[in-house]
Amino acid sequence: MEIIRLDNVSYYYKAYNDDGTVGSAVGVEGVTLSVEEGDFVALVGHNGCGKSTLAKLLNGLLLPQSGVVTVNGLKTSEKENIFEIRKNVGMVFQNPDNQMVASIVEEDVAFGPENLGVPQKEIAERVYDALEQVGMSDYAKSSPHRLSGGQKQRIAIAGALAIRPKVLVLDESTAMLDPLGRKEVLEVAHKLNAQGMTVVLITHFMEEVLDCDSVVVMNGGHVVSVGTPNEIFDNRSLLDEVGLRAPRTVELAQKLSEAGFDVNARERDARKLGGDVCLNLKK
Amino acid sequence: MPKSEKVTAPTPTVPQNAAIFAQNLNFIYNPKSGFAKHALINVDLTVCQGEFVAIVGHTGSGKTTFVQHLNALIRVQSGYLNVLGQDLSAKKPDLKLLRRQVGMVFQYPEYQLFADTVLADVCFGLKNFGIDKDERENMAREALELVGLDFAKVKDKSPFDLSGGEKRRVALAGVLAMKPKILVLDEPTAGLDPRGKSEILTLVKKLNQTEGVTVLMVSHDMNEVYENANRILVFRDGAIAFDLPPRDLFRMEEEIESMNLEVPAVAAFCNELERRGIVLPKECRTVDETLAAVVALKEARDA
Amino acid sequence: MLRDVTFGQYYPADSFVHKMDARIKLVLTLLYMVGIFFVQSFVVFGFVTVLLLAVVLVSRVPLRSVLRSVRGIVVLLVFTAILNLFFTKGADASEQPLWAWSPWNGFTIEIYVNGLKSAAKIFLRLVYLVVGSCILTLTTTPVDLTHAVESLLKPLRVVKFPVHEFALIMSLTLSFIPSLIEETDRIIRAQKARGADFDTGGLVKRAKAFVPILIPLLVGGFRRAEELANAMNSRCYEGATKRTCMRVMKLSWRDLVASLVMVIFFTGVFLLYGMSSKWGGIVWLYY
Repeated sequence: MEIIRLDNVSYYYKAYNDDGTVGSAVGVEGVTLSVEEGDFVALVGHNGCGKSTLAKLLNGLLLPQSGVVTVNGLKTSEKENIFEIRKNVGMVFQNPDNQMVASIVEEDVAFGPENLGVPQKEIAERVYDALEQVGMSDYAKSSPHRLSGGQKQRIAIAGALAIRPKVLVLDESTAMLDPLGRKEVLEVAHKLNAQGMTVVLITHFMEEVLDCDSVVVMNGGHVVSVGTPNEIFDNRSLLDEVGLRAPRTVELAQKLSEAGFDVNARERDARKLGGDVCLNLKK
Repeated sequence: MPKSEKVTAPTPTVPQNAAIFAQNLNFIYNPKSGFAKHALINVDLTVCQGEFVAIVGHTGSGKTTFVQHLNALIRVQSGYLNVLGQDLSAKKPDLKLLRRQVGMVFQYPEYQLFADTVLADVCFGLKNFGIDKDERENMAREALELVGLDFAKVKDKSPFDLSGGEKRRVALAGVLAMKPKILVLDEPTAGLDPRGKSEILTLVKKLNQTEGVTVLMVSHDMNEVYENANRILVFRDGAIAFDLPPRDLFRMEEEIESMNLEVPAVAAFCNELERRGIVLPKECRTVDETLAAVVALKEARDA
Repeated sequence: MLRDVTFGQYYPADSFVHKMDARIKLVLTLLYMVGIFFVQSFVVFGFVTVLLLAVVLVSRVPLRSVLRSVRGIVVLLVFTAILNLFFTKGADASEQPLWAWSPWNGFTIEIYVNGLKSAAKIFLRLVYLVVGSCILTLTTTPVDLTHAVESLLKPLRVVKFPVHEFALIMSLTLSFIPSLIEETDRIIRAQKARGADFDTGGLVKRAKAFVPILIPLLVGGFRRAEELANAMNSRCYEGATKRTCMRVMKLSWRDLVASLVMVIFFTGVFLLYGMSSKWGGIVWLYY
């Protein structure tokens, strides 16, 4: 079932030209896209390519200036739908420090359900469920600022989960984390996806898209390509053009294969690739 | 360290050509309270002029505390530290000279921009160090061109109107304008996309290779470290756990993984080849270098 | 250096006082603060001391942490005590000065026993005010205090006072303080590394030196506010309309006991105050 649909969506920002007049800058332009329920979709592109603008269009933080965004059958352009849409689309942002509303973890996670008017008893239930899902139950009474970046982002995910959404959008939520924190967040995202959550992952780390169902490549506000991770990695000239790079192992495998080695050009395991190259050399 | 020992310890001889020389450097946060935290433990280190040193380690491993010693943002508590000939364990080192010679680029440096024009921001450091106006503008121009910005186009713009990547480069120019002899960078590529990352790294490498600037770069990205540094320091619990060239460090896969660090893809590839008896030249660190080496091997065998 | 602004900060422990309802603690602290002004005699101050010590004991906060709070007002204490010492005249015309000094004709500095007493009382009163309010903040988390304020201000909704928004602002501020301090610290270091000098020069120069810190902080503040607004909207925030609250504040026997003790104690204090002005006879209660 289709959960998110964008039809020819455009959004322009107000921008000042060099001479001081007001002009506009492309956020996204003519984007048509569909996300199936239960999918794990990655949205990639360099900084400023429009991927974050697209994210904000998904829950009505921005409204399309032309075209239609539909979430779970509801149009974001209708004001009375917004609340219902936000209940369905949980969103986690880039900077973990700038999305905490309370100085105690459990109160922060409770913010969403409190806004929904969930009865008191059920809020506690939701909060503990959500913390359990991200593996942070032991930190319910902690103060967020003492936690690591990865832990803070997991709290932010719990905050979104407590609303019980159908879709989780991670808007560059791993960009500010160290590799360990990135791993934690991705593991949580994949676990939730395995339980049926639709996940939209926005990133420019190509290592993170390896296990996604599909990858959407954006450039200059346009969707320039959609495909499986392997299909996207295969198209090296496209990645070059949009300023992205396949994971190093994949790149090496591709180039070795092109140089006449008998290796899998889509190999993801560097050690396996090394072994295969040895077999080639010892032939 | 007991005080008497500190007084009687003779000033160590600084090796020639050393840009940074630390001996038995210790640092404790909140030493007298119950929350005392030993952030540096007996750090010994010599960095020669012109080296490209990467510093890795987890949050709280002491790497940030160490690099802040280098321009006296944190003063020496115990032990000996000499940077570019200045004894920083002395009571009053020449801070102005030191900070001009040791450029420090903090994490997300674009968040420290403040002036109303790019030119004024880049000139801030130069002005503080007493360089006169005409020369300031020349130096700022050079620095902005070095980081790949069009001087005439950006100099009168507000730094806040630039894109994220451009802001970072302006901030970098603000440090480079002082022509530091040592450049300390704390995660200079954090938050940037692949293209922005490679622009910054290419620039840093160029400064190191053509201008002879000594570089110390803190980073979490093992691929980045592996491809760029000549030497890697691994900090763990306040001490330097490893101090090795990249190829040698990442050969120890078990130790690296036990410290929760990643083995770079190319290193893992080369390690596997070595295990099977094929040793690639030491310089193989990027994908293309490795590819060329492997292809050369194959051609040699075919011939 | 910025991390030191923490006096009176929450001291985690599992005690009778910690477990009390924050609303009751807040109200009782207010009662105490008002009551202190009605304490007239040293004997009653003695009773208050016993009461305070008992509360500190029950709260399991080290006495040292409690007393540390007084350090912040030392200057004020000394200043008011000295003023009272020198400017309080005798209780009546017959009282002879304890000590007098006349540096020149027509100007005499005199110290009366009455002045000593009055200085001592003002000193005690200020110390006890600070110590008392500190016990509140030492045993109550800022979050609980916020909830208590919100709950106690609820009646003001009738006059359209935005109680919920007020409490939300308090709570947001609290959650941003740690990262704000960190950010300030980082900016100061970064500008120092570029040769900025915050410690020398005249007042104007020093004030100017803070521009490179304030502007990045301000810009950062706006960015933060925008991101926070997005995060709150994404989590279905629509104002106070139909919000519920996870936290339930329940009164327990502890609150009843504490309230009884405090109310009885201060009823006594108020009664004594009333009586002493009527029948000046019970001298020991007055002096």
